[in-house]
Amino acid sequence: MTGAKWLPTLILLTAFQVLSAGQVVISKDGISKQSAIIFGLYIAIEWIYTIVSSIVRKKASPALEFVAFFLTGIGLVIVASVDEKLLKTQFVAVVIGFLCYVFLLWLISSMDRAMAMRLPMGIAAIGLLIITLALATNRNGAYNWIYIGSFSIQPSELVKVAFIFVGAAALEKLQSTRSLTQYIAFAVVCIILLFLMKDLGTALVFFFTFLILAFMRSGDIRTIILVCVAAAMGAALVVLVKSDYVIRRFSTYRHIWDDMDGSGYQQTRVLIYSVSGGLFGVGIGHGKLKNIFAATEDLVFGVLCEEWGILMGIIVILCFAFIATHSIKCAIGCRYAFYTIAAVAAGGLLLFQASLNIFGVTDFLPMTGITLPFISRGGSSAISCWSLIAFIKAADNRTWLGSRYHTEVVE
Amino acid sequence: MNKISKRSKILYMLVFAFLIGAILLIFTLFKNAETWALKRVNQHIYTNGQLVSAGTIYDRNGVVLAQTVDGKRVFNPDKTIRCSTLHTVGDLSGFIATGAHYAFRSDLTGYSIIDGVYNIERHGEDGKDLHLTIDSKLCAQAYNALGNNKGTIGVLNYKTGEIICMVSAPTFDINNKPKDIDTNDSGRYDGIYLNRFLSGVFTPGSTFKIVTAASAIDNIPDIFSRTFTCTGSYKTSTGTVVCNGVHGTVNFEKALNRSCNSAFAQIAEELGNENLTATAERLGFNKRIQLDGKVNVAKSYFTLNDAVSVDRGWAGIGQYKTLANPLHMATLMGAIASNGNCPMPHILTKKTQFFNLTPSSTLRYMDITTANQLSDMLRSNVKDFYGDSKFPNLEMCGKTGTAEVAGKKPHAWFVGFSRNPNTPLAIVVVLENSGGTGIGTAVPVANKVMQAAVNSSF
Amino acid sequence: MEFFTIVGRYFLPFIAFFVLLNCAFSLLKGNKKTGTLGYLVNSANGDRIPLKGFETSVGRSNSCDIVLSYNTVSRFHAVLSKHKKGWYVADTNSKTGTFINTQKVDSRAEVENGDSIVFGNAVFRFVDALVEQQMPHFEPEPVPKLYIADEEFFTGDVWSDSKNSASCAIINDSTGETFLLDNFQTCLIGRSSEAQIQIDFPSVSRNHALLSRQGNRWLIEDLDSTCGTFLNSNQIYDVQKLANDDILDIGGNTLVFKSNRY
Repeated sequence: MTGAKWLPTLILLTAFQVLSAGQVVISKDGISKQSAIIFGLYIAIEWIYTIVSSIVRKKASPALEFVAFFLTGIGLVIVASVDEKLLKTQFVAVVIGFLCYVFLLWLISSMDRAMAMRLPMGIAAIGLLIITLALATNRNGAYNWIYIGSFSIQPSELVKVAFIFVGAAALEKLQSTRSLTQYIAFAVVCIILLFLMKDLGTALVFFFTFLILAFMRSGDIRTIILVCVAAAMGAALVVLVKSDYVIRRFSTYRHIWDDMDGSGYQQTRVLIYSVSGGLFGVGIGHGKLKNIFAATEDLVFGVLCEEWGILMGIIVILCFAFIATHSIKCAIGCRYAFYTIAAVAAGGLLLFQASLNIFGVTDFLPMTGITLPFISRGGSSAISCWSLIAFIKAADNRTWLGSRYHTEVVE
Repeated sequence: MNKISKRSKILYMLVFAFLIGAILLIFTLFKNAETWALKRVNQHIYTNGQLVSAGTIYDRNGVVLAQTVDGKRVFNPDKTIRCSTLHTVGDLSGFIATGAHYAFRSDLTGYSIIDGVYNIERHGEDGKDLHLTIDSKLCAQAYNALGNNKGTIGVLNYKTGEIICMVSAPTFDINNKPKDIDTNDSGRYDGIYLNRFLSGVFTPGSTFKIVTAASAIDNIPDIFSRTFTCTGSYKTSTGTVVCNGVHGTVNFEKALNRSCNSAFAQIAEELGNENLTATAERLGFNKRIQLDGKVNVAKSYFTLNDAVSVDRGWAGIGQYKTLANPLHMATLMGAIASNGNCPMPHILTKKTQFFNLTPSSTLRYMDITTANQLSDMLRSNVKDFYGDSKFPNLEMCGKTGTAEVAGKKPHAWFVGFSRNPNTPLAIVVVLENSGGTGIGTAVPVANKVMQAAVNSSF
Repeated sequence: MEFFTIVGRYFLPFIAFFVLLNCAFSLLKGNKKTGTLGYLVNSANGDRIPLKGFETSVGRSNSCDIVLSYNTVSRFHAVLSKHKKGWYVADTNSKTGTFINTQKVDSRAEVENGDSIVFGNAVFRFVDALVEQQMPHFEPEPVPKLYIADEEFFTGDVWSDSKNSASCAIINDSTGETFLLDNFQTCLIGRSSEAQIQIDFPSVSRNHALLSRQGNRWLIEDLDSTCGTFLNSNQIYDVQKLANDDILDIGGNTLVFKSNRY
């Protein structure tokens, strides 16, 4: 079994998760049974997935999933350390996300099936956004959440997956419809809907993903620059028209210490508590940043640095660089244009989102209210991140060796 | 390889930019770690903006000045000690910037970028302890000697550089902070958060004549054989410098004894802007002193730029735009007492100089001959003019000053040192806007403190 | 409890680091390069254009994988793709159309080894590398390596212009070994034991270069070897025709091509 060479890494990963989860499971009040079961299940899923995939896809390397499991595990422990009641919901979301990953990987394993799904996906994406706009209630100034019973979902997260799905296409499809017009129309509608929801951060992520997809499809850097210039002018126009909302956001940028208890509150607290943790952190669950609003969502990088240490912050940063590099490496040798484009877009999206979050809360970039992939609490986010991993995984040729839709490599 | 897959390499640019950003981020975190971690909103260290988790602060005799007991910061039980050491120990909210609680907060809390606040968080009061060089009992005595005056008294051991006494008034009892401290505008609390000994600058008046004399010794070869005639004022081409009396014909030493403005204005005139400025700067004016690598002392200020002859005359007797910092004047005394060099002053004892930031640096002000000649002249001031009875058993050298301040009462100054090798102490007394003269009001205060100091454990 | 936290503080970053390090090692491998999957043989001049990807775009535009500078070929003409079931040609809205064995391709059509594909008026023969490679296996026994020690061979009557059939050979200049190529369709040069011309030398790749017959001509092609293949001291990147006395450099070994016709 070739998967056996991954055993040491899996054991290390498990050790990491047992050790970190143990910090929240075992507390002064004794052992929390519910958390113990949840983390146990999580580790079991990891093992079962790795063993099954090493049998089914003999030559596939599970490195990418390990990193995803690693980051998701950190996220779960942070959620548990801040509020144990939220752990169950988050875990269920992670499991759904994981199942979405498995399903999506199956879905795109057949190119014909994938091609057939693009149109319904696109329609569903726009429909979902329109429904959101109609039903959403204001939450932190943005209208991007809908509530179904006691559940709340953020459809813009799910649309990310559809956005890439529609953007990527088989080479013959790309050749036959050379003009990007249709896709541009789809992208513009999505981005405008997000603007209407006042979800500027997500709109920015979509715009960036659109640039990657457009470049991958056309290979024309001049067009991309043109689009960027047009977008910058459009953004300038928006700023002129609805100035105070946007300007207020940007006025804090690089001036967070001038208004420590006002507009710079979140960023200054992130920086103060990040350095308070030192290299090794104050210990999981012993931080103070967690008492601040959105600690497990937008500010989760600060919680990580404070409680787990700056070293762990560096490792998480490297994890995102790894995911992006992995997607490039896979895309370069990839056999089909659909997988190549989707993988680069997914890797780019995850990295861009991580940059916006990490550099946003530390005042290197303006704060946009974007979550940190895999680690931030949020069910929709977990589902979309895991689904995006499927695109990168699909570009790895090793995934398909022995698959019923794909040929063996001519050696 | 497919042409489309080649395009994926563009993503490397983003990865590269991301990693560069990450390196910058980590670098910024490390660079600002201490500043940020010790912000008053950090609840690991501060509770309601007050420093709580910190080590104990001791004086040189092991008297506890501040410590953390059961999550609360507790100060010395004696009210006089609390008032007199307020500016040295500092408040918990960081209003007193040169106070130990603020200046040495990273040492006190034990914060380091490696371990963060872990130790503070876990062990509460397990920050590092500070041992200060001040003698709290002496400070209390100095505080009492100051009476109701605003001003400052500092005593420096010029052999070791230890500041053994440092008192600044007005002050308040940290356990019973006046409610109207920030609202009262009667002037009662003016500069109450300022440690006048370290952060204050005052017009030096006649005490500056020591600097003029040092310049004269270095630049006028026959200065000791010169005589000056004082008619009660000295006329220059651009104005008149008024003297405090009519001293007739005096030699250089007498001129300093009597503090004759006419003579010193004349000397300043002869020295010229360049010589006088050069000497002042060599003697530490316009230069920064830093205690223990953490506490910045205010710079003494001297300038003769665009000065005409009458300005030069006034500058020579310590008026014009000149401002002196009391600690700096104390180091100047120390240098005169010990062959022209004074060890860098410090307020942490050797055992708490954590990184040995101030190994053995020395303030080099003048050469040994000049120092000894000045020392003799200052000794003559006390012996022949103020009278040794004013400073019994001290072998005191010194100079008084009465500094005119525009629109307010003058400051009374005394700067001096004991020449007895068994009591290597230099003292500076500034009574701010007291209205008294140096001889009349500053000298008795200085004597009280010196008598107490020689009996302390310097 | 306390102990557990301390262990966590110091060990977690290191375990995490090793997890990431182990995963990062997989980056070194990346995706394997695909070998040549097939060829488009230009019927006009016999050029063999290798198909290296599973999807290959054909057209006049520079952003196509195979650029055909014919007036009758559209900028984005067609896409050749390999799937599990076989090869397909998709016409991508070309003006002049794509034909397989004179049958016009509507949107997508299957193509097999040996079929002719016409883009506009450019005629190609499609060669599936997999099928071509498998051909020798059907022969009863592998063709033995020919080794003729006798250098006199070339001077004798056998090797003369008067000889009716074409005859070609490769001489290894370093060892003096001679390989007669007449019984082969293709001939692999490399370190591999399966190579017809085996050169056991470290700088020679396992599959270094491929000789293939086209009519009476022999062609040489580099198989992405580490050190490259040089024809008369020029490195070759595509398929080249060989002529008598051409000198090949295979990883430092000099081979001389002999032919009685060209």
